[in-house]
Amino acid sequence: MGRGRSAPFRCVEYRESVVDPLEQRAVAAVRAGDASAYDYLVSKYLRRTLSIVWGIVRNGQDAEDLAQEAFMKAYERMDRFREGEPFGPWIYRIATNLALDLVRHRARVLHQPPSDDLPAARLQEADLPARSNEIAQRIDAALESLPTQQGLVARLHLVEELEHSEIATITGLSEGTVRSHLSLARKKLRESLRDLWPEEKSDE
Amino acid sequence: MNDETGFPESIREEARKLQYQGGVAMEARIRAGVAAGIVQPNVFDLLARWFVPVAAAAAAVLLASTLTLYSAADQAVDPGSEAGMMVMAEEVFGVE
Repeated sequence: MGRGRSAPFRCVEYRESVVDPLEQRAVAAVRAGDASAYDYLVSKYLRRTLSIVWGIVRNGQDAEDLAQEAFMKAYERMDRFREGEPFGPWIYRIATNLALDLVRHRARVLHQPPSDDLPAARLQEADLPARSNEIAQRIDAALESLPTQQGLVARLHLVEELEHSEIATITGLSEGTVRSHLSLARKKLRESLRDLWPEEKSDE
Repeated sequence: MNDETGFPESIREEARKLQYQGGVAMEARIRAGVAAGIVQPNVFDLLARWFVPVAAAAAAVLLASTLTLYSAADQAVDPGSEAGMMVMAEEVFGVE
């Protein structure tokens, strides 16, 4: 695959919803059979993919394995990727689905039926990001206490700073449903983080 | 200041700190793993991939034909059967 060759693509910061011309070139090159061009896409989206996956599986080793698997799966399915669209939400969706599958598998192995109402208590085993402080950890705990779908949507919005349209693509939900989940999540988070939540003049 | 979904900036700012960063070593491992996993096959790999199912199919056909022939030959003339005795009598004694 010519790994010794220097890749003709360099990472440039682009808002992910805006299509990056270098990304389009890389996608076209990969589809044309130049596997070395795929490294540009991996480099660009690896960090956030890892972070999103970690937010679901809460374990560094699993996150690493799943991120790698997601990129390999995306490469195999490159012919299904719609050219002209940003690669980010697509790879995040693949990674999110893999991570959710692992969580469901864990639940089955532990004989705990997966439930949207009863999120698994996974805080003890989580290796939290080094930058997080006590407040961030409280937010993390509050996000973990939300029902699975709501927690995922809220985490993608708050932690990963993704737009509603991107969250909709990743989760397979409509933008309206994403907004509705966020609204419900906000109410619950405000309740559990009451002392951290600033005073609001009009909330409803 | 709240965003359009009503989350205050102070909460969003703290939440951003929860972004997971695997570190340079982890990222390098993943990139290397992906690169190794998507190595394009060379000519020999492609030939091997093509040859293995063809060889398996050919072996299955050969085995099936051998068994069929063997079974047919076995059933053709059984000297102990009535038909076999008739054939033998016809050949040895010219009985019709």
